[in-house]
Amino acid sequence: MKYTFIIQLLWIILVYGHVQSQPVDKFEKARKSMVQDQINPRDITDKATLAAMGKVPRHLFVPSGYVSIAYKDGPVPIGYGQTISQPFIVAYMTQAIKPKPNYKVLEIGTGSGYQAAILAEIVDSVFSVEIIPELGDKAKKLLNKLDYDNVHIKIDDGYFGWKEHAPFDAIIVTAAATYIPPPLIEQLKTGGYMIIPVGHPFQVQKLVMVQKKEKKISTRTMLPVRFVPFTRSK
Amino acid sequence: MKKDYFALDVSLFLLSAAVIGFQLTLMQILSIQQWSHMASMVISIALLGFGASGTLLAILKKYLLKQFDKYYTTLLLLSAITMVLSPILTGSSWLQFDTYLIFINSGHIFRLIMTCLLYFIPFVLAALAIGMSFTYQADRIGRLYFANLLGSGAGAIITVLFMWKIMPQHLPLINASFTLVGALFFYLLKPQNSTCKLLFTLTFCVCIMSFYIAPDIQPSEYKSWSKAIRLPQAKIQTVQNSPYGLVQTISSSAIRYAPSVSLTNTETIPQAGLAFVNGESVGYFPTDSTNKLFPLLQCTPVALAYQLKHRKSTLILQSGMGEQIHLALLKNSKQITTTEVNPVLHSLTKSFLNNTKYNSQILFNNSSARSFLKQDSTTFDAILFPAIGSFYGSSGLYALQEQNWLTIEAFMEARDHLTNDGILCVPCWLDYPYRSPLKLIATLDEVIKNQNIDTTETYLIGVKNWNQITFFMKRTPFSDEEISQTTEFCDSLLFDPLIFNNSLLVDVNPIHTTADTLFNHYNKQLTSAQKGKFYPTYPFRVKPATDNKPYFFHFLKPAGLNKLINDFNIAGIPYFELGYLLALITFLFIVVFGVSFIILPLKIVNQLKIKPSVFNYFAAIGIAYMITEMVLIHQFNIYFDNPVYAVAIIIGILLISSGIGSYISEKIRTKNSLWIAPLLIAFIIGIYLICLPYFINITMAFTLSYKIIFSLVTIGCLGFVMGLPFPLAIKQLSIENKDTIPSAWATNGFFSVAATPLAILLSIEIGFSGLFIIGACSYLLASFSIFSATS
Repeated sequence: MKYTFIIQLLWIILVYGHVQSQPVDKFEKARKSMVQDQINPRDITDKATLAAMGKVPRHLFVPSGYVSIAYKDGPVPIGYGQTISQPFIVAYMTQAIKPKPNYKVLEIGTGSGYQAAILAEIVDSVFSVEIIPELGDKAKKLLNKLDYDNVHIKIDDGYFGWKEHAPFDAIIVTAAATYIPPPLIEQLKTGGYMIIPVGHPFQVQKLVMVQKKEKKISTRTMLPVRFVPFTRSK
Repeated sequence: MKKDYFALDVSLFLLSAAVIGFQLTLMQILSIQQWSHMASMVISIALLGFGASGTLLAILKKYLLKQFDKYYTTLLLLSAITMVLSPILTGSSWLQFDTYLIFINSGHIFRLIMTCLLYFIPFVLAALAIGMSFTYQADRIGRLYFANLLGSGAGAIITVLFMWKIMPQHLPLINASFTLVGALFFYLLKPQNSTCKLLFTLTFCVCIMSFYIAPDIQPSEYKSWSKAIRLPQAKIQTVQNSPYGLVQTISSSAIRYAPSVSLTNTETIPQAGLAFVNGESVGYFPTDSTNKLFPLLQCTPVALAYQLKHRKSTLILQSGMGEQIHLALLKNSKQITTTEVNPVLHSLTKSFLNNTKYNSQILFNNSSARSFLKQDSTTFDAILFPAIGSFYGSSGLYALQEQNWLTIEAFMEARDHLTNDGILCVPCWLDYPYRSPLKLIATLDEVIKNQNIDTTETYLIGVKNWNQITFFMKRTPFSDEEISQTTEFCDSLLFDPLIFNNSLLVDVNPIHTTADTLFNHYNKQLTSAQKGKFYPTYPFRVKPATDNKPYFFHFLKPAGLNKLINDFNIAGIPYFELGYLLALITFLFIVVFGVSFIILPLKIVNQLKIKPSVFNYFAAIGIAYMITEMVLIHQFNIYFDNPVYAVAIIIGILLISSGIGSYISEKIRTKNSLWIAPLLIAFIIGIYLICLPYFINITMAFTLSYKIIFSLVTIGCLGFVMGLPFPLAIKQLSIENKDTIPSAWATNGFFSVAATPLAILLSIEIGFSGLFIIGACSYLLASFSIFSATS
């Protein structure tokens, strides 16, 4: 009985001590390991992208039931049939548009707001369009709370882009389509890059990098991915 | 006594019809919930039930046979109850598994195992009843086996017919009703105690209740349907079930159709509706009331076929929802012929174009592409194939589905339907790692070289854009003018031309590039004399598909699997090469289950007492029957124009003729027949191996009634003798050692179980002719094992 009590006491001290030694942001370690183990080894070398991925608290952008897997190497459902993309894909798309501090970037498909937050860490301003009001409003509130005042969110049909703020230095589309929407090409600056998952919206798609040049538009097919379908309101 | 026999024969007939019908029902349900390759698992589960029933019978025969009438009726009723309940339980949200998630979520492995067990129960109960009757009246085995096979054949045909009128969730009730009626018939002629009365009432109540509680079949959340139904303002327009699958159409403001459209296009992408078969999207249709056609198709690579020359006549193969028809109409093709095997899609396309001015110039054929090419002799200015890898499996999902319209022989037949200056057009979605386009290039190159032509000329050109490569092939060489027209077309729409002749000519500064620069390098190798060396070195199978191995979408090699795991990790594999992996998993799974449920229990209770020669005999005929059945289905698939009816007709003829063979076996007294029958089957298979493809070819143009007569003669003869070995051996056992009948039944069941997935895997490696040889060898082994034992 005596020994049992001592063992229980020791156990409580050990557990309590372990809890006390946890850092304030207990997800920092997970975030660091996400960058080191999932992103860096897969040819993501852009310092600004890596820094942003290591800074933005991804666990705040996922629903409470999925916090424990927020930093895992995969997408997480966020409701309304949408997902927050796998960390590697977010980093890959960010690096692909070659972001610079003075850039104005258009994002189609705000979703959780995570991609917008990553971009906001690197570029001057982010204009993000979301078709699902509930998701857009939630992302807006969260980004405000996290002081990302250079992110502007509009609830609208992404197909038409955001004409009032065009042209954009770069465009990131985070929803799959069988086509590249003509208004988006129009709103891209000459010399600018647009990255978009294309292919059948319900099967495997490919990330395609579109570059707008003086007289022609070229594409470069990057890697296969799976995204939710590109939606239009009307 | 006669009344007793009659009661058992009729109830056995109805039970057998229900069992085969339930198999078809589960196959359709799984095709909707998951994918068709999971459906093939049902055959193995059913056979597993048959094998396990033999084991149970061996262990429990004393008790079961003592009160045969009571237990027989009980088993029939329990099997009816479980037939209606198992699909409801496995379709519930807490038990429905997802094919994709079994690779990443162990919970779904548990759900899969539970699903298999729940599907297994009705089969094992029904098979136990059948096995009991065989043991109980082993002296009448020929007649009982006849009723069993006749019922199975009739059940297959009846269930297929019911699929036209009944929604999939209610089909189990139809199957259970057969069993219930069978039990009732047996009960009325041979009344038993009140326990059965209670069970009858319970079965009746469960069946009625199931009609009201059976939920709609929910497709996997990874299927197109589940995604589309969540789109803004998604509205279901059509729902129709058929043996070809469940057809549904959806309209939504978010669905737009402009595949592979040029980046120069500034027009608004028009709104469209989307059609699905078993939850997978199969094609788009216009929903804009002012514009019945898709105008942007003129800005896609396929339009080059009409840019080079006006095409008066066009043949559109596998027309789906008719998107290619729109292009032909927009380009003023005056005679348009289409083929589409699915009658529901076919009639939907017709109805969409019915109210337009174009309807009179379209000839709709409700037939498969290959059957049309084999039977029709008309020539066309343009032949359009559907985009390969889009709706027909870009991800290896359909690796094990026969694609007899994408074989070398199919493309050669298509080429022979071209007019002298006609053009064949095949769009293909670009995948990565490169698979479909490379296999297509290799196939078309083979077709061209087969013509004995001057290889310095250009017979094949390609147009590449950001997600598709479209190939154009001609019987006569492309002229210099046509090549320069192609270049101009590509320049104006920002596409990249690929000119294939002795050396592949490509633009040095292409507009559309890929992650690596190897694509053109591979193309060059595949169209050179070096291609023989290229195939084994490339990590995926890109050697052309042939009629003997018609698996266009099977790409997986061990090296390719390693590459995919390295590039996309294990969780990404299902998106690329699911079909083959699932067949492999099914095979291993079934063998483990088979050993656990059939062999091991018999060993434990020391009931596996049959002689090695008898074991070999029943094992060999189990394997051989399943393999031969599969090869016959393959051989007659194109012949009947319609794969669903082909399967129903062939299984029907085979089972009924085998049933007649079993019936006749009762009159055979000589013991030598045990080894003569399988020897005779092996001999007939040998003849069929050489002659059948030839006779099928020459009778291809016959009318349906003559074709059925031809099939009745060919399959019927083989089926008749295939029905002999099993009842002959059971009868012999009933004379020599009746106690070993259940073990023999279990052995036969186990090897039939293992043979089904094994045959699929083998057909990929050795082709269907190789499989036919294995079938013949298995019968030879059966013959030899008995011959050596008796002599």
